[in-house]
Amino acid sequence: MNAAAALGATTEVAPAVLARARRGDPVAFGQVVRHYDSRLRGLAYRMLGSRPAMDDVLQEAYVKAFKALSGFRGESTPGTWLYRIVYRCCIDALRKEARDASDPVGDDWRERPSDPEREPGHVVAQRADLAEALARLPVDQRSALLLIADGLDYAAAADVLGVAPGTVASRASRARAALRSALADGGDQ
Amino acid sequence: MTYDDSLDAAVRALPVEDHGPGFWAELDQNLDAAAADVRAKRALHADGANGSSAGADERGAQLPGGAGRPAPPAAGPSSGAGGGGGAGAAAGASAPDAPVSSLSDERARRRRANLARVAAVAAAVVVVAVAVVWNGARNDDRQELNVVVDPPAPEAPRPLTLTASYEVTGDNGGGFRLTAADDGSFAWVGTSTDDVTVDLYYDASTGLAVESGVISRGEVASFVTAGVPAGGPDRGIAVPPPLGSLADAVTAMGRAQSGEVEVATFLDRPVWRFDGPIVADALGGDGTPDHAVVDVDQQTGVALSISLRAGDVPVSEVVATSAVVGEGIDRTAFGPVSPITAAADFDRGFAPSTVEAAGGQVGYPVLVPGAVPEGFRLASVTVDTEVPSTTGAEGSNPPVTDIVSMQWRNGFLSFTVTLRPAGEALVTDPFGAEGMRFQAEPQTIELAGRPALEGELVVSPPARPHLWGRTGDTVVTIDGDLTADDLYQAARSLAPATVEESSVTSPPGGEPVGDGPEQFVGLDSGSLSVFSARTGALIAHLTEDGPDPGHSEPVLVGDAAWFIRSDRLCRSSILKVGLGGGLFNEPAVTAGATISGLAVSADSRMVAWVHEPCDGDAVLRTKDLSTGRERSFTLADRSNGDAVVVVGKPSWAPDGRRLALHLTGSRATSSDEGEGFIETRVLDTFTADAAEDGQSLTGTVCSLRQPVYLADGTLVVLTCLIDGEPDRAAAVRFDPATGERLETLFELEGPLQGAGAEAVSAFDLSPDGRHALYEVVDGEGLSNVYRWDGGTPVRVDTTATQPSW
Repeated sequence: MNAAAALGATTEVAPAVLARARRGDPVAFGQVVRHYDSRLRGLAYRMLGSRPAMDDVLQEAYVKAFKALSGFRGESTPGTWLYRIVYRCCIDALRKEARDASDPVGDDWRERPSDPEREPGHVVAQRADLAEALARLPVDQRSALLLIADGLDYAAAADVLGVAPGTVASRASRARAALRSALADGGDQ
Repeated sequence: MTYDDSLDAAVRALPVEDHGPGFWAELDQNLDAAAADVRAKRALHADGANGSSAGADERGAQLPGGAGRPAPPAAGPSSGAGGGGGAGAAAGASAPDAPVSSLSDERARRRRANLARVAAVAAAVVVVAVAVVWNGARNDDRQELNVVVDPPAPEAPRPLTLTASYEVTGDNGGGFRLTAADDGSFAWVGTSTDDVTVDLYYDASTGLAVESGVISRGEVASFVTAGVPAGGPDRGIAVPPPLGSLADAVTAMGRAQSGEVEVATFLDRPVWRFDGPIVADALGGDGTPDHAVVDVDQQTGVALSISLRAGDVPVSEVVATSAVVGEGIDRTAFGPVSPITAAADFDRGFAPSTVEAAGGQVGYPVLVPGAVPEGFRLASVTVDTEVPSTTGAEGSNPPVTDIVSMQWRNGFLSFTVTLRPAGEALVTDPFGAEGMRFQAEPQTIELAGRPALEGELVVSPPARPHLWGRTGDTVVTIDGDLTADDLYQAARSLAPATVEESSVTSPPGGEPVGDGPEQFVGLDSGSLSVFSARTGALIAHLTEDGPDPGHSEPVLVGDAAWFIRSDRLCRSSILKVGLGGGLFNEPAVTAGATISGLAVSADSRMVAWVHEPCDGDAVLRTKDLSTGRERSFTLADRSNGDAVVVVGKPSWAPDGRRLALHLTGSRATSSDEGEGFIETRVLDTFTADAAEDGQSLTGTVCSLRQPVYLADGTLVVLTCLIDGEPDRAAAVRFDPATGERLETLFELEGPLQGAGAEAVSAFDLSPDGRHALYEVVDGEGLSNVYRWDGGTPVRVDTTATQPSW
């Protein structure tokens, strides 16, 4: 699955809208980001762990994308391109916060209930410590896992992260191993 | 569904909150502000008298203190300038996004304290690092810079390889083995017992990176990344920590005799030791390292020990337990040992080129530094015109194409100059994407005949030392094991390349000699290369290898060149490279044997080769690349066991089943001497067991050599023009089914010296049989390449050997 598909957009944004946005029309660009916002929000939220942080970053990312749109040549899909910018802004935000926060993702992760109705992941998802374990992963592993879990294939995720596909694979795998270990430890307690 | 699938699903199912109230209204407001900002900048740009002044104004606004300061980084050491530069860089980095940051007061307030702390620490680092590096550059005993691009070739030093083992604590623990060659190749192989062991191999001679191993429990995979540039911000592959940016920074400081590093020994090897603060780098946890102790091997620039600490808390350690530098490069070390079972090709898009050719490919002048540190030579030029690059890992700069990446090397040391078209959207340091906002020293560097280079200089661990900036419509990045002075001097000497400045171009060849294929492949001093079929001029090196290890027998099929790579240890492989920035694939064949006689079918499905083990008898082999099925054919006369030798290259029939071979050997007779034979046979590779089983092609008393199948199924061979007169050679078309001699295509020209067709070392035809290339080695051992387009063959002025099209 490519990034656009993973973003949940059944179709790409209308070319005419994209063209207007590229000419600097802020209204058209607003339509573009609304088209992709749902999954981009998912990435930002799971990376950052709080709504204020997510909104801050997405504000920054979307405006940055708007300003950069004239340089978008269409070799990748707008979805992939936006995914990359949002990811990058998340990274920047985490870096800026890292020194000040012993737990940069906030406590609200731990209190958030999971969805018990989802099968077959509910067995794991209902574990309250999944979010905590996810938040404790190194960012490179966490981001790789989030993208793969979101349905991107290794090549598409590699494109977003700017690394080689094998690196994505190993990061995601290590992330899963860490989650398995963390959940097992939690289960033993 | 596997456990991992369940885990992924669970992660995916974690709830995501919606935006807060007012998000979209705020975004609309921000977009309006950004649109106004863009319009204002465009107006400013349009009002400028030229690109230089407009660029200077614009960048001056973005880079506090950067405008109108042509002074070298020596201006930086004063504490005021350095501190201002450091703090200014933090502010300056976000200046282009001012409408965004100013609209989020809460976010700005939250981060202000952090930025101040980071900037203060980092500014101190910059002040010290830049000052000492620059002062070091002033030392009288420092090597002088030579203002040359292509200095006379010195006697080539022996290539070197470092082999080291490391233990890792922290992170994921374990250990790894590192093999690094002085051409930039490396192998990074894990030695831990972790259930995830992905090894990474990078071969600088091919631009091919292979990640291979267990990517998950029980899941083995390989990923082949092609078109990887030699350096710079567009590589997109992981780098072992000992070869990383921290090692580069310490190497640069060591070369500059910086007071921030001291000379020490580690594993009985001279090292530069850095023990000091670094800009915050680690993410996503409470273990932020802010201090590094690094020992870098002086001979290789490879870190032998890296210790990262967050305050007094150790975060990770990578420590070598052994390190040996030896002569020679075993190139097989830079590919996976086990066969690749599943490849996911990934292309970074960089294809070999030359300085001369690059300008035509990217459409803007190729800037090369006239001043490079002594001992550095241009080692590679690659161009990406196809695959947009995001400019560094995790880069937020918009993807662009038309990038030129040039690398200079001096043994293990290297630096890379990268050029890319500038766009209004390129707003951040191309290396900033690798993990941090650097403490940068703004620069305005006047260039002869061009707009000034407006940018930043970064010499601050753990960043890879670099200088980046914009001159007119081009963004330049210079990075590597360079001191601040080196970087500045290289940047200041940037000028458009001319033909004379190119080190890898050949002189123009002769006049055009007719239509037909525009390009052919061949060897240029041991490098697989593309040449103009019209002029014979070298267009691009596809590989950078010299004669050891060797590349040989290029075969052009469609848009890909196949070739044999071998070393002196009796190891060989058959590889393929695209001519237009296409993919390298994993080796089609890898063998602990000598490989020769390569033939590739027109559909690239079948390959044939002669496989000669070091301690065994040679056999002919074929492989169906679509299935992996191999067959082996005896190369011996069944009547007496004498070896039969395949001469030159076999040729596949259009059906991909029959193979024409030129064989020589001896056949048993009633006498003890036997009888020598030279013949061309057509082998049914589906049913035969031995080369001898092939149908012998006759029809002339002269021997038939160098068979080449045409698309219509007829076969062209070289033989004597007139039976019984071997001095005059001709290309003759046969019907292989009947042995009927159909027509004489042309008589060969060249220094045949009475040897006739025997003097021809390589012969190839276009698939339609209307154009030919052949090579004759004269009595002095010199190569002469001829082209035939229907009349008399014409000599091509070229450096190519073993031509194929």
